[in-house]
Amino acid sequence: MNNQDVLRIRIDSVSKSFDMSIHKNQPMLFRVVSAFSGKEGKKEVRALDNVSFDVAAGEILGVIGRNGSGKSTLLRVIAGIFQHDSGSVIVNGNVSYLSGFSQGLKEKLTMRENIYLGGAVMGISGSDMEAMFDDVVRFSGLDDFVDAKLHQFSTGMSARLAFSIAVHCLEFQKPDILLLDEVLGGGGDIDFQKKAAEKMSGILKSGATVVLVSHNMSEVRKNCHKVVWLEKGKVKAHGTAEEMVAAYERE
Amino acid sequence: MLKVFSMTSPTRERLRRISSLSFSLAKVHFKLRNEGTYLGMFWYLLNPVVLFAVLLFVKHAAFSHISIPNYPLYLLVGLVMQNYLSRSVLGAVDVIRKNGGFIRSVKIPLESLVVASSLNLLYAHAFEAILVAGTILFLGVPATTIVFYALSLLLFALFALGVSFAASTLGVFANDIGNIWPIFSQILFFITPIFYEVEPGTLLYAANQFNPLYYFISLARWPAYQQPGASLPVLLAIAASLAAIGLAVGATVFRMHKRKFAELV
Repeated sequence: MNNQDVLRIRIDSVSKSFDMSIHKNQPMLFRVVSAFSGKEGKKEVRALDNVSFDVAAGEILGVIGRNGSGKSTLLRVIAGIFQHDSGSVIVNGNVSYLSGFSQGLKEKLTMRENIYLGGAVMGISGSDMEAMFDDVVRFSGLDDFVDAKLHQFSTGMSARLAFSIAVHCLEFQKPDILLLDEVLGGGGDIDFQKKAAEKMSGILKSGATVVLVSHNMSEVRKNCHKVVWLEKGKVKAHGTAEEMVAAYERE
Repeated sequence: MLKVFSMTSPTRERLRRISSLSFSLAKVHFKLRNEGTYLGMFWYLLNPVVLFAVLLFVKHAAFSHISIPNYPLYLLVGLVMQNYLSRSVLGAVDVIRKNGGFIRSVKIPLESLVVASSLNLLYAHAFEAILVAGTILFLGVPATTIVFYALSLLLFALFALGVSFAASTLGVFANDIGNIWPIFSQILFFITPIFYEVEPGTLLYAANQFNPLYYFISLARWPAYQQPGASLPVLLAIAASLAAIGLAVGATVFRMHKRKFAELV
């Protein structure tokens, strides 16, 4: 069976709305009074509207669009973080979802402790993390700061550490499906960014199915086989990366 | 023609991930909570120890005519167990809400956040348990009380975890739970025989038949103090059933709603 014959993701007429009238931090009494007073009508925002597409094994799909067009919501629906309202989402294979690198890291912990914590958050056992510990440290270039606390790090150093943990975990997990939300840049200085781009490129070419959300059109053009362009939650167009990026940049 | 194939992750792997992440998060939170404080983990003991001292004084000063065998132990066991439930639920109420950004950006088993919160409290409770064990040995009451206390604590921790699952779910939908629980907890403190005893046939005794905390505390005190009219096998069966039902109901409530959490917090 050809790799391209295996369907990894099928999104069929998927819609997702958010109830914007919910005030997350207001007490229940206030919400009840607001509902009965009729002052606050139900405000719904349709983040995804009848979205459909397929991604085959080994394909890299780019998702482009302006802020608020539904790109991140789409990735969270595929990852199972958000529940879609209608349509169907079929995901075949184990999924890794990455949105930023620093989530879960604690400023008051040392770099060593954060490496183990980051691994646990990404589902890597302590013994596996121990085996890759030296590689994570070496790649980050922060060998002299292993027992320093994260709040003593500069922003760039924290970004290097977070990137290093995430990519090594991804390399170890070898997911069938990789969902990346604006994570192509590794942060840090020019040298590290170059090293990070090479590492990421290796992961993208590892054969995993990738759905990549990005505003960086040159990266989308370089890495993606095809692109879906979202606008106000709807698929505005889809096609090859070259065609879609050109059309998007013209607009 | 495109073909679809399925690859479901086994339940065992999921349970492994929940327990592994729960232990990691609990360890981190325990460390972070104690760092930078002068008394560190002894802060956990402050509340029950101060309350213990005050209630012991009040008992001797105002109610010395009421005789309860091994009263310091009777009081301490009641206090630490009520304190465990109270803090366990309070810690769980906002555990999902305060990790909103985190759960939207990483796909993690959400149960880990609640389990980690309970484990964190269990670590802290270890110091109270040492205090209870020390009191048992100091008073010279049967050492088997330690076994009963440990058994009751194990069942109680499962029950409290179930309540925590339900509380964390409610906390996503209503901020108010964090304000309601301390009031409820205070009511529970006064109606449960923690610093007094209840006699069969009284209204308070009847009310406590519907109070889960009463059964766990009675079991924990068993060799040192046997509740009038109670039977050990019945007490054990009730405590075990409450633990199983509490955990099952709480986990079910949580599982039914967890897919909505990321967009609500």
